[in-house]
Amino acid sequence: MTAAIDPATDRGALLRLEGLKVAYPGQRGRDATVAVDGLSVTVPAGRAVAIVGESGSGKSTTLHALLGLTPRTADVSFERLEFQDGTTGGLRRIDDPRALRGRSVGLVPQDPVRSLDPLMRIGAQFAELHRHFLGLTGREESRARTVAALESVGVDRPGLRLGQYPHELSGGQRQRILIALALVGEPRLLLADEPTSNLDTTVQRRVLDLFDEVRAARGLSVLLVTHDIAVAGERADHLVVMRAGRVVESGPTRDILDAPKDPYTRQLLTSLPSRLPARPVFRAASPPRVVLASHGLTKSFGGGKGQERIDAVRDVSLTLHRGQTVAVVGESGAGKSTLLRLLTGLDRPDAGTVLLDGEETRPGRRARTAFARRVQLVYQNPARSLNPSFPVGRAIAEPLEAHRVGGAKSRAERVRDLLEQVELPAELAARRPSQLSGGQLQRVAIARALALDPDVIVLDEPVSALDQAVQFALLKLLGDLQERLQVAYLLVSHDLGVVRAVADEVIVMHRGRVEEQAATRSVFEAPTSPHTRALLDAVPALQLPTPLVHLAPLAPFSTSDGKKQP
Amino acid sequence: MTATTVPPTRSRSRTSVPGLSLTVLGLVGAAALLPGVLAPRDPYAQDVSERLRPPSAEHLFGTDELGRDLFSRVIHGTQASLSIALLALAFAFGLSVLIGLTAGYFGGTADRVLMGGVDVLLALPSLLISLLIVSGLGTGPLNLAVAVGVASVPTLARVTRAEVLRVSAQTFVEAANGYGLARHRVLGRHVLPHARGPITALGALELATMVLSVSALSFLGYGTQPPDPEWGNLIAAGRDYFATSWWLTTLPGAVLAGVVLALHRVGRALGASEAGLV
Amino acid sequence: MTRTPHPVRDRVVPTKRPAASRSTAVYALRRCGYFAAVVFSVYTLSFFLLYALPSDPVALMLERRSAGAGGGTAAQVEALRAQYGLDQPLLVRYVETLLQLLGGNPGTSFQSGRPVPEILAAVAPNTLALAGGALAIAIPLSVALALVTSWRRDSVLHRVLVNVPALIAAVPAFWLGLLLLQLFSFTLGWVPSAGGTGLSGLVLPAVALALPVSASLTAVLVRSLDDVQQAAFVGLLRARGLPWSRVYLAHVARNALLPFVTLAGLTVGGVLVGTVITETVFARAGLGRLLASSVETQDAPVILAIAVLAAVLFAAVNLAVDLLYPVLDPRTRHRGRGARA
Repeated sequence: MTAAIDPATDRGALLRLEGLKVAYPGQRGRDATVAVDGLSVTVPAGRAVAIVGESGSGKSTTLHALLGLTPRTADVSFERLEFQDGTTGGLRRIDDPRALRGRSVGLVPQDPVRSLDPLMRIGAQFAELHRHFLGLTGREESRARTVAALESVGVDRPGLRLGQYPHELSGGQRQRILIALALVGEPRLLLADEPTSNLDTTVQRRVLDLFDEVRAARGLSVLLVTHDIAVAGERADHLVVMRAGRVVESGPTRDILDAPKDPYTRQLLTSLPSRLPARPVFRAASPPRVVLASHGLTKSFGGGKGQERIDAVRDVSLTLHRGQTVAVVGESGAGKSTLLRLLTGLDRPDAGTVLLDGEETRPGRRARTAFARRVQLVYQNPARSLNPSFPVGRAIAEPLEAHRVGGAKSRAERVRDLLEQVELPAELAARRPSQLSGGQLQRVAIARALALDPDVIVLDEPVSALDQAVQFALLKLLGDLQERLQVAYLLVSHDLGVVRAVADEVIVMHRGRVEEQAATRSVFEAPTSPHTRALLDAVPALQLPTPLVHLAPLAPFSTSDGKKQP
Repeated sequence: MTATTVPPTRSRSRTSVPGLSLTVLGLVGAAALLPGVLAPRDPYAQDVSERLRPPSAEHLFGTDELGRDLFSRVIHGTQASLSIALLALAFAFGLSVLIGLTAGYFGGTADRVLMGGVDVLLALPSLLISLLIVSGLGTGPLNLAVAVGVASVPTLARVTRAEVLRVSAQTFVEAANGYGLARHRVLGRHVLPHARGPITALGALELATMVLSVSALSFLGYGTQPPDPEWGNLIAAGRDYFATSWWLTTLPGAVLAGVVLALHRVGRALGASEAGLV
Repeated sequence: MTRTPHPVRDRVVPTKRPAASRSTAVYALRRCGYFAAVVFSVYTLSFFLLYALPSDPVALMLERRSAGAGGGTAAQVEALRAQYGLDQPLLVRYVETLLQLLGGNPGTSFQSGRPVPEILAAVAPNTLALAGGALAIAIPLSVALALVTSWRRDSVLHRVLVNVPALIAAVPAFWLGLLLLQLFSFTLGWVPSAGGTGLSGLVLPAVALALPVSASLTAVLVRSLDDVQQAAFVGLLRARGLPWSRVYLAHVARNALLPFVTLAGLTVGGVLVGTVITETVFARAGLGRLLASSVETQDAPVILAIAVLAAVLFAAVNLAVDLLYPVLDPRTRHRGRGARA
């Protein structure tokens, strides 16, 4: 992937958009919101361009504006929109972006699960487009074309798929079908809106490979929108970095990765998990202090009468030492969440035991309460794990109250102390969750988990709902806290970059079983199980020159909101 | 990390409580509490020389077949109509919140039994339930309130249960259980305050339905008996003369429709703004 | 988030859909069991409401029959009690009445002494014609109104029309009937005010009955249409360049109208019970008016028969919907063919 455009393959620009502005008019005295402010982008023929930005940067709005899909209340204007003319090869002016839909530009959506009409068989979804784009009414011909199209995007048993409904297919299959559907109108440009963010890493990789294949085979251009600079760096020839509606930097990928000019881009690159300070090799204390352990945990869920029971977790044993971080990884459905619920006592296992300080945990509410004091849970989505109507100070104090620790005054003091520990100003205690950013909320959740001085904190995808820079700061905080408090972490994550950066030991799960269990380094450098290898191959590799000079300070950018875009 | 404000999000189309509706309800409430003050005349005073007069400055709503002032009768009827509906609402609310909470929070057998019963009642139109109860208990205002109240229980109980379940499934409730907060505290602090809003909004909408049902049943003759005025029986009484005296049915009906519409709007506004919180 | 005052919300997202694992036969059997349970419960509920509560039907009956002439003697009362089986213990009567009903014999009316089936049969055709007419108006009307309202989600037309159902729902049904009579019979003279035969006499009551029902149906439909328009697949279909009319009618409307089917039971129920008001207002003979007058006279056998009949009808419609739904919505169909790879 070279940055310089090779003159032999270059057929000029396919799409040129200049000065795009999208604003939402203010309602009831509010100011108008400018979502995109003066964006320009050029997609060369046959190339891939990526728009990179965090949530709220306006990257998705740009993409919607390009097809005239913004809500009618939005104020959309652009100085110039041009698209290559099919016959002359020159650029042709487009006045209404809706004219580009389907035949010139194909859209591949973010969410494969909700992007197909649930009541229509796959065959009918294609037939509809065949009628519309090609005027094709014959059933047989439509069938034949559909089978060929499905084959070309790597859907297995295409003949069978024709008669199936979307809900009968897996996420990866649906995403492939959506790509095939986008290609029916024979567009010259594919727009991909975070096409893989709802898929497992291994599937993600295969879908992105498919994009590359399709692009090469059909000579298409791709405009990729993503929050993940690693994905963008790996797949695109040109990058456009957006922040708060504006382009902060754009140019050939290599140039940007090697020498980012804008401080924000630099920060994106320096806040990758791999940039976290290296962890010292974990050495168990002697005698070893195991705080949490499990033996042969098994839990299955029944599918009703006469239905096979499905083992969600099967025979899982693990040990967690004081001050250690153990990460559990695996694709969705591998049993991570069930394991987590068993280890935190939210569910009881069918077989096996959970040991706290070497003692078996007993059922019953009293034992459960005692257990809760020592093992705390931090959830994936901080906005949902905090009661929206409580000031965050009260939320932090509630575990203390539940266990009758201290009086009102000492609790207030403890809350101040905890806020300081998670590096939040004390005056935040009076705010409500809606007034805080995603990163701040997750810090509050961590403070609440720390309130009772637990030995173990179970972290359930603690940073996956947050923007990259916020993620980085939070992971750093978690590391600092562990060093200071010697608390043990059990981390559940699908993000192997995060796992590699923070875990001492990794447990790879697959269909409820432990596939591999070893020190982080050996899992990443010498995986023994083929399944682990598949997981690792899927991580986008980003070659960066090290070290980057002039590291930007983190503070000015950590204000962005961590909420997902609607 | 410094404190930040939330970036301006696009405002959702949030309905504010409409002023006109509140004014209407305020007036009606005043009429129900102080009919003697607001009514210009005695609702029972007959004047044969003034019978069946169309609306005029003297008689805003005209007069009935006995020469009674219709406007005064409508104002005095407010009390009967509203108090029956409110009684029905209180009855329905108490019963259904109890059922819904028990079923939603404790689940298990209690849930199955209670919801089984509710489902059976839900399978029947509410007017039929009311009619069955009236025929069992006999007619009269109090029985009417019970009949109308019971008819609303299935809907309200279902919604209460659904809300309790919805809130209980939220992560912050699970988190509170997780760090060992006592069960009744979780219910009182985290679940109920968030389930309350939608239930209240539905309550306002149910009250509108109840006002309609009460007047419909009174219209059929099961409620307040003449000569005591009530909206439904006023309209029923006007039927005998309505080929010639349109005001006898039209005007009380318009008042009734206005009140129901106002309750509807307030309920919707409550529903919209409360739902924005959770 | 808006809510209708009807149990509609709970119906839109049906709770009792087949689990993917159960076979169709088991599902169908369960639904039939539910049907029987509803009818049986309604019978039980009605029976105890009608017979176990304090008011004395015999006394009322005698009072009415003798038209205020002082009631009957103690002997007369006892004879009548025996005649109607009222002297037996409640539970015995409960079982006996149930067996009689199952055998197709709902007894005789307290009021007129005629067999109940005869009384019902005399007026049922009137009610069926009225209810049928109302449904024939209500369903197309609400579908059309909803489709027009929701065509453009953020248009002025949408903002105006979306209030129409709430407006109609606020109007008392009996008052609406009177208004229609006032306008079309007395002022305009287009249709007869009462006792009209054939179609001309049916139009006005059918409209009066249909309007409130259409109001709640339209409100649910509009919300459903608006929701579906937000779905990701709708935006994607537009992005592919399909014309809006195609997207709206073939995809949005189809997905939105599906929950509509589950409202069928409620709609039929609403129309049937609405006849109580409509038939009274328009002075038409029918089941509704019969029920209204029987409630007044506490004519228990008639009320019981009508209640059970109504329960059978509503439950049957719901049963049909439940059995039909998997055919319409592939997501609720049982797996078994085709593999998830």
